[in-house]
Amino acid sequence: MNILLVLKTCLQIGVQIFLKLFNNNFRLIRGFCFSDEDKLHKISNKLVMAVSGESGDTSQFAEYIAKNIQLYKMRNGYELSPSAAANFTRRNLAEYLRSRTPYNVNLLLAGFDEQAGPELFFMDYLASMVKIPYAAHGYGGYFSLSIMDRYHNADMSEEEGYEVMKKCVQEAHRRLIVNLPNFKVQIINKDGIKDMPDITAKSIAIEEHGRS
Amino acid sequence: MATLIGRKRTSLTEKPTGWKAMVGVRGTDVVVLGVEKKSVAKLQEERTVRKICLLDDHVVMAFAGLTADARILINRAQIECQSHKLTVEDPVTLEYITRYIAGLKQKYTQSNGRRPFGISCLLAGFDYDGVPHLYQTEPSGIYYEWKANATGRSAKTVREFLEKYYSSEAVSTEKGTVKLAIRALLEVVQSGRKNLEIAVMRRGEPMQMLDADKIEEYVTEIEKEKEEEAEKKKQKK
Repeated sequence: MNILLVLKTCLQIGVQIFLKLFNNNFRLIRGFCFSDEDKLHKISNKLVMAVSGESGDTSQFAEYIAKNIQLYKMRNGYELSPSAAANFTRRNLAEYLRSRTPYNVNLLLAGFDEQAGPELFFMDYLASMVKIPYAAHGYGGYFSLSIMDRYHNADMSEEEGYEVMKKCVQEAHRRLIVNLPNFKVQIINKDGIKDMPDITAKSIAIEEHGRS
Repeated sequence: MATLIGRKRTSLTEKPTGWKAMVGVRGTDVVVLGVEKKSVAKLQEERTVRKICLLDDHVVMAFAGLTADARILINRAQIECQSHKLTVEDPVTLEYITRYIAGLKQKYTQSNGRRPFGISCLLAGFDYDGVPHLYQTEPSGIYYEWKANATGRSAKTVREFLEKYYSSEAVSTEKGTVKLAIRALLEVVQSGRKNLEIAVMRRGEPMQMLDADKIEEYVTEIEKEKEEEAEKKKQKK
């Protein structure tokens, strides 16, 4: 399988928006305005990190890791592999965990390695890390993991993967009490990072209508 | 003021003559850096001797002098490039990173127990707004911007050559700029074409090191032009 983990993206964003929405409500009451943030950080040419958690920590940590990965590339002339980058990230999280200023972030790191193929790493705020075929963070995950359990297999194509993502989003729309209409999707393969069409409530509704 | 650097006595303001020749030319759309490569011993692996290095995607540096000293400076500069991007979200401007390196060099001329960095650098690249720049720094910590410059061995000869042949038309194309740089280097390089390392920096694109065949092409073209010029001169007489 040479596609990667469009899967993870979906739910990550789900959570982020969920948290943000709640904050947003409070903020609206207080009169603050809410700007949108790209939660999918490009770490290097074939590495993407989706971060969720404490706002501020997320972008701070993601940017810090991204620049360190760039520094490695400049110093050594070649990029860090996805698993090396993931382990570096995890070590950073772990070191800050037992300090006065831990990072409260959950993340999914996806990358494509020339030898090992596509890889997905799941990391949480306690600096635990695991390499898995599909993952989710947050409340959206409670529904989506079962969907992915059922439909995922190791030799899926790009289109099939996108379809499973759509199914997960539909499930979140159906079951989750919070309204999360829009999802951003990215795919990483041997050619690098590419944006896929957003999965929005509107696009799903149009499709359903078209089918019926 | 003279300081002892290794076995060489060098003045902070006088450019050391034992170092390899190096040239930089700023064109309208490209900046070219060229260095004279030290001839590699038969049993030595060539790729470990690199005098042109990337500080960031848009900044390239060539140095002449003590390679070990350069390593330290390059390391600090690379960290500073990323740190700058992290704090202000913008890539460094050429002037900023030159000032940083120059400032670092100056520190070592004014503290106890330390000796100055024994290298002269040429920094080239494009700012975020697309304007090309070429800067030079010296062990004393001063920096200048140049349209075209040379340091290292026979710098004076090369600079005079550049002053004679540099014009905005000559460097308006990439080919013209590269040719000018190679011609300037060929004036002083002893072993000729085999020992040139040329780096081309284009706006918005990663640095490209010209491979040996490409350099060969340019050199043959230059030699042909030289012959034609010599012929014309003979005919005039």
